Amino acid sequence: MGFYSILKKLKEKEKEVRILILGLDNAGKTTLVKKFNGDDIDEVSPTLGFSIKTLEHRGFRLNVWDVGGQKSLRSYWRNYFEATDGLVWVVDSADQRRLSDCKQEFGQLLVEERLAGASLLVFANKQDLPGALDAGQISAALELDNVKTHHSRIFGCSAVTGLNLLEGIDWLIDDIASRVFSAD
Amino acid sequence: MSNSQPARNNKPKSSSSNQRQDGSSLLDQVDFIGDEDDIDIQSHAPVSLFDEAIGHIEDIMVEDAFQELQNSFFSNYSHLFSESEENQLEYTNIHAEYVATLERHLETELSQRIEDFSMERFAHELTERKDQLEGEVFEMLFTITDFVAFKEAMLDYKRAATGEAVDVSMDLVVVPLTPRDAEMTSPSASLSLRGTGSTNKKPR
Amino acid sequence: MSTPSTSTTDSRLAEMTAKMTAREAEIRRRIEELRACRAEGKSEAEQYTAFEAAFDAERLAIVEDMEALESVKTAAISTVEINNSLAAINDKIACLQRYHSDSVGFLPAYVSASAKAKVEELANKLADLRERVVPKKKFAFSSAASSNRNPKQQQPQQQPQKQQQQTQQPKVEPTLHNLTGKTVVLSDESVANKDILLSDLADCTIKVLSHPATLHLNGLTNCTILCGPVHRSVLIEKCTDFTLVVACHQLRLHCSTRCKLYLHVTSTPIIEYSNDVLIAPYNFNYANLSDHVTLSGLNWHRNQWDQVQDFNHLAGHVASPNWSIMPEADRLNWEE
Repeated sequence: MGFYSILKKLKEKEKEVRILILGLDNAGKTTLVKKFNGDDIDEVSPTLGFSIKTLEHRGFRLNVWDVGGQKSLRSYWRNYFEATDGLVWVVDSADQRRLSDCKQEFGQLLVEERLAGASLLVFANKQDLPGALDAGQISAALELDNVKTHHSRIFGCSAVTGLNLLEGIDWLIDDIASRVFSAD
Repeated sequence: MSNSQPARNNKPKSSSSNQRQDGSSLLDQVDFIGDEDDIDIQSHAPVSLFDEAIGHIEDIMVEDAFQELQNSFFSNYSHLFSESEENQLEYTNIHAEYVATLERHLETELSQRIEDFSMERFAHELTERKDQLEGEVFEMLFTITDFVAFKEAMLDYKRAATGEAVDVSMDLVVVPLTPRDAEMTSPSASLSLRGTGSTNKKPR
Repeated sequence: MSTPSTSTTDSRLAEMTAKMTAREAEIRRRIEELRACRAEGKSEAEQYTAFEAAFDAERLAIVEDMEALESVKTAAISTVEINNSLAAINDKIACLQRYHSDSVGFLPAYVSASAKAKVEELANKLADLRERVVPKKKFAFSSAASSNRNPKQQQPQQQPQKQQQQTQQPKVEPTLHNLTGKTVVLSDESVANKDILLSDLADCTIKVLSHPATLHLNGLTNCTILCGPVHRSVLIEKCTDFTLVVACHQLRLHCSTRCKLYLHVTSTPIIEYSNDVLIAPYNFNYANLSDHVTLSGLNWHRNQWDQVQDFNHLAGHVASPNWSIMPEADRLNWEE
């Protein structure tokens, strides 16, 4: 570990939280971030690279990293693991066909050493679609109950309507805060 | 150069340990003598590696070699950067290389200035003193590791190089319009100003 | 081994449902009360006392829900019912948490911290409960979309919202699967606002004269798909020798070859591991098109059909050889 990465870690103490948003393509990651930030979501294009949004929420400074989910981008995800406090895994709940892909990619993240300390929020997105599985079903599909490596929680949500976004992010911040900033 | 000295003096004074109090008073004397690199005096004084290294880092970062290193990096890569909100994946690699390059440079320079310098030991001391990492030098170091700041600097450089109009951004609003004064501030601000100068766009 | 009679089960369920509905109304009333109290400018102390009262009442209600669920677990109700109840309880915990985070501003730190701990305790309890009451059956991935694995009976449900959702199972509803040489027209209400999945079709023509929510195409060979405006996204995978005419918000094409796409797409279409892709502007015309455009909410003035991004040619800054604009002379006119 280099000197800069140590420095970076030390500086990230001031109620600054790094959140990494991942999931298969078409899961709704960018829409979710935009909606949470109050941006227009009508013209969200598929993400070709990554975006960073800095949001102020409840006195925390959230650095939200949104990385594209296309198959050819997934091998790059690992470049963004470092110093992540919270991992948000976004699932297209209406895409049952790729749920097994989703589970497989998710499983690979869980064993990532550099994500070991991160709180894990799963968003079962697109609950506004008629074909969506609910949070319980997504949880079962991902076998979330068996996840012992991370503090985790699942929320059914809709990035389009905004349903449960705040609840999910609030849980994530609370969980991170109780670990990282407990000294305050 | 003159900027760095008060900052260095402040550092050890803020410490509560006796050892470092001694160190700081000695350092004060050294500064009165006005010699930057008087290793003889420092080496037998009980100054910690931390204080010594920080002092040197401040010097290194304002030296031409460091600035040139940064500038050549910007000139090599800035054409790849675009204003769009979304970033290309290759930016991450470029930033990683930038951090590694500057770190190598720092380490080489520190090794020449401090006998038996060890980056591991210094990094370890940093973690020990994480509550004391306040001040300009740490802000500058931290900025290097910050991707968003890096991208902004790249874009500033690109705008300056291509003479494009510059957005009225925060740093420009507070920078005085006379370029001579601006040259004293951060490198990126002065670069931006050259950009504005050429298009004659005035901040608000 | 005796199973309880159906009537007992029904009455228990009815009882639970009624209880939950009543409580739902009660908590709304309490929240309103609290809001009113805040609006009237009562002192902070009064506000947080009211918060504590409402919070605790709801917390106890959730605990009761959990106890109730545990007491009927013995094979008396179906897995679907159990999952519904668990989901309902989960929602309530989320609601309680939101209530707490909404109120953080005027709560003393210790009240806030204790409320937070209580929410966590509830979440843990629920996780334990789920562990105990849900049968250890793994979720099956195979034939997820097409098989009729839904053991649903017409039973009363706790929440109207849930009910609507549950009746959609099996979820990807308007599905065409494993057809050869057919022409199928899907129109209006049957597919409006629904998620359409077309998979493993050969030599078929499918016309969707409606405005579905999403469209997924998988494993199509030598097919023509004509579709009205899709509210959200279109996802295409493993298709060859096919023509798609569609309007949508986002479009992603994966692992496909020899495709002709006539598009109205409001964001940039993307392709990945695909080649021989020809792109043209959307030109499907049918009777209700303009109504469907309105219903879909698509921006009809923004069409990025020719701004294709190829994931296999991102960094090169060189045009991708995998797609091109279809010459105008080659474009067909698509009518109903």
